[in-house]
Amino acid sequence: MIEKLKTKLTLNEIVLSGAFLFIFLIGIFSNENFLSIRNILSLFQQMSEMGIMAMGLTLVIITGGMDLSSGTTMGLCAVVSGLCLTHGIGLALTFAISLSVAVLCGILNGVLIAVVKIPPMIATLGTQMFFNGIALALSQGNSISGIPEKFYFLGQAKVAGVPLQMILLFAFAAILFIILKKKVIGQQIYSIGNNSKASLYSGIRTTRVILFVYIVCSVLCCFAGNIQVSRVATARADMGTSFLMICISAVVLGGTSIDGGNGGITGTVVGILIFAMIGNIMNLVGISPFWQQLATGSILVLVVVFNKTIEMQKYKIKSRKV
Amino acid sequence: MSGKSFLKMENVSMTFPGIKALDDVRLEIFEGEVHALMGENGAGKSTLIKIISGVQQPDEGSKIFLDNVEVRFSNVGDSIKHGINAIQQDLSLFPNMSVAENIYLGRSKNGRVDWKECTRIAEEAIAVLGISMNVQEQLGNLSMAKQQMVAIARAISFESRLLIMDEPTATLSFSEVKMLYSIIEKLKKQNIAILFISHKLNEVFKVSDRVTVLKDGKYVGCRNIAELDENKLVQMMVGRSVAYASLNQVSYAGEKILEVNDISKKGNYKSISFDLHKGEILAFTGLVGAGRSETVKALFGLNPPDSGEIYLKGKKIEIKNVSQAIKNKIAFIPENRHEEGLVLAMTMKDNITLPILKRLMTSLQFINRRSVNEETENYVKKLNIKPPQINKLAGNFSGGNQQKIAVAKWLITDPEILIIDEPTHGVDIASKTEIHRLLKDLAKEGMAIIMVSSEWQEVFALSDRVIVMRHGRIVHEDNTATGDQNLMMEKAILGGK
Repeated sequence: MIEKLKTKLTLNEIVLSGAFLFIFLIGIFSNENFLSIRNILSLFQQMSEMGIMAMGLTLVIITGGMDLSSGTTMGLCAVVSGLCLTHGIGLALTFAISLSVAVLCGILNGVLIAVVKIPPMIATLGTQMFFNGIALALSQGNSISGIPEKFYFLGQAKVAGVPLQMILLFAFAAILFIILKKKVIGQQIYSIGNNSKASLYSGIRTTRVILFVYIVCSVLCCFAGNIQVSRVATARADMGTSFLMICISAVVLGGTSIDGGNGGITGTVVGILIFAMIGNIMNLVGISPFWQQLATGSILVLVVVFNKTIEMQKYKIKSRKV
Repeated sequence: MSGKSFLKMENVSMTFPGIKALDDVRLEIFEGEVHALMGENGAGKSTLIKIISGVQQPDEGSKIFLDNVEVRFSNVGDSIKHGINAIQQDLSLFPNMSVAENIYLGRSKNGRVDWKECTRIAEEAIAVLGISMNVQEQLGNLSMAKQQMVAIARAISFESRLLIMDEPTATLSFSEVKMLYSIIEKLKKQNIAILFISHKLNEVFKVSDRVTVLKDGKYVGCRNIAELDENKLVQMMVGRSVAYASLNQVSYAGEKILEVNDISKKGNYKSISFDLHKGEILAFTGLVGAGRSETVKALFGLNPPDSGEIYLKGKKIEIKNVSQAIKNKIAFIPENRHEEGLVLAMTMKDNITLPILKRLMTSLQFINRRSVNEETENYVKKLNIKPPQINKLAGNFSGGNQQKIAVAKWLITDPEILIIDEPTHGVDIASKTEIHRLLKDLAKEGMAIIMVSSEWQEVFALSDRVIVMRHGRIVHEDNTATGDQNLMMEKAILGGK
């Protein structure tokens, strides 16, 4: 019985693992460098910024929400950090300022959505432009260079040969995993995504929980922004804008329903990893990056179609694994 | 009065899993008559309408005749083809389209919209009603009454012979109701029959020629309206019958726990005052829309009053949100299990422990899985939830067991006051009895229970006291055992007359 239950619940993950293995095998057979430690580490280094942002989005999407402003929040935090650093403000204070900006962004989104009750898509569409506007005004549309070298550690340092941002990625993943699966607020996040009314009637402070997820999402975007600033040693307002769609795709690919209520961090990490591997393999083999979007798009559509087909056949309420 | 039979239904039964919604029901409608369909909530009116309009198919052996020829409606299109159109309570129109488009919709000429034809048909249909209206106007800009007329015009433009109107006056003002009456008269003259569903007795007497009464899914009778007066009709609708094994009418009422003093909320409820005692089952009854649910939600912080006071054990309290209500040991089991009560896509144990997660957590806010399981197992046994699989999704349980899960979810908060809205709505008979017994047992243990119910039998079998509401006010209050039950029902339906 328990065996049966297990297989039933993990079908989603089976499809995802299948896709992962498939691409992994392609990687192994197409280039002997794919499995080298160096390549794997650089793979994680490339994906960590996107991964961190996607994890924040996962939380938001599980509550049935959406944060279209996450890309520009990242850009805004990057610009703020860049300006602070180039104006001689110390590291600790820079981080503090940048994080406070992120928290404010999150509060703005959360208030618009949970208190004013604007649909998340519309609210964050507005704040997306709003944050971008602030970032552009602050930076005057220029890229800010001359970031002091002491800041490089975040995106370039290695601990025992492992890139720091990769460690951060896994640390955040672990924390969020525990929050979602083991903590009370995690349970509340899922229940709001499934049925916000019943959650309210159960005495859950839905407004607080929603505020919490949007703040977490913005803070993670801030981390992603700072890592990128440190890695490329410049800060630009448009730094995160290209991330948004890929991150949403990764969350969906990872099995989190866009309607909310199920999914998880593990799926999102695997989703981002799949996208990163596709890019990595194409680089190794020397295929033009123009083909990358085609490949990532096809994988996304294929996996989602596959999931849906299975779900329709079963015709049962899908469940998350508890 | 007798005319040519248009629609005749015989031996109509409809069985849903675990419940017989209609049992051997008859209905005959003559051409050009206004026929009222009456019955309490749950009497089977909606099911019957759904069968007539082809939304649902009745059990084998049910017979439907049109012009004395037997027919079967397998979908809505079938019944429309035969000239039967239903106007839903919510009208089912498109507010962002013009009047003409709303009327024309569903027709086309070789797959293209003929705008001239569209306007012509709409204008014709409006003219039939004897009213004037700009058909190019956007529907959403019109009043409810005008929108309803558009719905009627749309229906008759399909060469309708029978119009079903479900509570057509529910959203209309007094003068608009008059306008509707005159339209009904015009339709009658054109030999269009009307099946009229309404809770308002005076309307039924005003417009209808004959009336068919249903009760508990059974046919009670069909009379000419001239043979009846309001009291006789009420008797037909509520006439006594024993549906439940009567629970012994022992009251366990003890000391006063809650006092509600003159609370009001604009547009919801007005001047509500009552006391609640430990071990007592207090029933709030009345028709749907009488403001019962709105009132009890006030005690749970979902619909806080604008004015008035609430005292708990003699101490004045404010209940502004659900958390405060839970802190004051008040629990509320909503009527709508699917939307408000349960999170269907989560497991039984997650549902049951949702309100008390804070109690079940360790110091670092981790959920204590073991106590979640233990607490759940405890209530599964106590309430006899079947199957006893705590990891099964709530949505995969039967209606009765879902209701038990909802009850468990709130008993687990250890309330002193339990508010339950329609405790046995959509629940099979066996579970119904179990839930009734459970409520009685809880009262015996000293819990104060407020029950909102539209089912008279349930109210009489279970409650110690009854409060009857109408139009947001309390119109009657009495002891169930000693009070005049017929008077209570009359108060609910007729009001203060």
